[in-house]
Amino acid sequence: MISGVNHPQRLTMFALRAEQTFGVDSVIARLRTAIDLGFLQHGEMLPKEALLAKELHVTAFTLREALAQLRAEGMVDTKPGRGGGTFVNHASKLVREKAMSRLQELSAVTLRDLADWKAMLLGESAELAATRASPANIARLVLYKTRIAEAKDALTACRAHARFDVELASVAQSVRLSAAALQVYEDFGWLLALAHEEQEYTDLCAATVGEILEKITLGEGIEAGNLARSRTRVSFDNLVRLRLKLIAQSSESTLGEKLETA
Amino acid sequence: MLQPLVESASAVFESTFVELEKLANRFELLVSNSKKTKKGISESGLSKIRPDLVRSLTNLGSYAYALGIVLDEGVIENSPFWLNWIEIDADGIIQDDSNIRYPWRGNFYEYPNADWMVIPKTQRRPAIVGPYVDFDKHIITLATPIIVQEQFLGVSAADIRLSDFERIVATPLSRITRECLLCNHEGRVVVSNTASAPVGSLNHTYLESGQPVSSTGWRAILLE
Repeated sequence: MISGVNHPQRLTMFALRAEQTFGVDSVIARLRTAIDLGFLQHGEMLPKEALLAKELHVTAFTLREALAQLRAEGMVDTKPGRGGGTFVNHASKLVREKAMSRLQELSAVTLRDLADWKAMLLGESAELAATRASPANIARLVLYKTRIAEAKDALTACRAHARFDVELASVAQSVRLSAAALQVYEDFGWLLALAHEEQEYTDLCAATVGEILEKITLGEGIEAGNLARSRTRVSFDNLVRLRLKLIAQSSESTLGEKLETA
Repeated sequence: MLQPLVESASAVFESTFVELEKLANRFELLVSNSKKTKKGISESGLSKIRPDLVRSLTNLGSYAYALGIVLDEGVIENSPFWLNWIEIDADGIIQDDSNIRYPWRGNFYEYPNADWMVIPKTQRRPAIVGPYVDFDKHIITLATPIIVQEQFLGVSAADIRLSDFERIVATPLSRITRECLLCNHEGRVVVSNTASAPVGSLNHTYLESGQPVSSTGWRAILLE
């Protein structure tokens, strides 16, 4: 177990969203984001309920309801008794299944729209960064690139990629681009983590990021931007194919059930 | 012609560093004292720094909007990250760390790797970092190392909003009729009165011209 989570400074990580929304759904969303983005690690104990409820600006009742739902999704486990509490369980099979079913529920056009948006953010950031990156900035970007390339699992790769994207936007000296890049991971971290399950996708991302960095180092903004835009769109192909495959599998199984009942 | 601009910028940094130096000294004393007790270095012991933080932040008034102590990894046992950080909110009320909106950025941006931690750590000297994008605003961070018995423990640091800094230097800048700018130690434009040197752009040649802003590495420059 990793300690120190009861410390008040670490709790504000749940205040991820600028708008203060209330209710069970907002609590679930914020906790899920904190887990997806790795602020809360696998096996980590959540802060005590009273403290957490206060931090999230909700009643203990609302928090308990939210935790119950996260438990049902397999994102947290609760162990009773001494030394017990609520623990993050990111390795849960249920989490993965949930992500799969959420991917199926996305429409093809939503997926394409997300690809366009991410391509635009990354392209714009890369283009601006090429004229605004200091050597220190580039060194940090290289560090994140290496982390993507050396990631041993999907989650680590996804987090490293999130850091790269947000850092790139911040190297572009843009508050709006950074906030938007982070928002993409807050909303779709689960989806991009799914994409990173294929090593091929992670390799592609690491290669792309490396090439973008080369252009940025050379100060070639337009080239960096174009590369970022086109490669980001292509990288979504994996998710498009995975989605179709999942839909086909589930309709085959329903068809099978129908035949059996007939 | 540049002197008033240089002076107003220097004043911001110099008075901030005076407060940070005081905080670092005070904190070093707290640490030395608590090392002598049975309990050793504890979170409750270190939290005694808070009244000093409030005093420094009040002294800095229009300059810094947030300051505090950030410790390096693993200084306190079982608590990988420790910081005591206060901030003045929009209503002028000093808020405790738990009410700051985004200190979780420490987790995302991995503050042990941040320049304002790494430079004081490796070079044992105060540092000015930025302006950089800090989630929802541009800020400049000043940091002074905290060293006890040769061991680097962390930094006392303060954040200055770029927008506040701009306002402070706006008056002297407005009196300069020629094209003029202030750049940081990287040659990045911090404020300027001309579209030919937009804020945030980078130009190494700036580092070879103009006049230094105290010992910060920053420069005030008249364009040809």
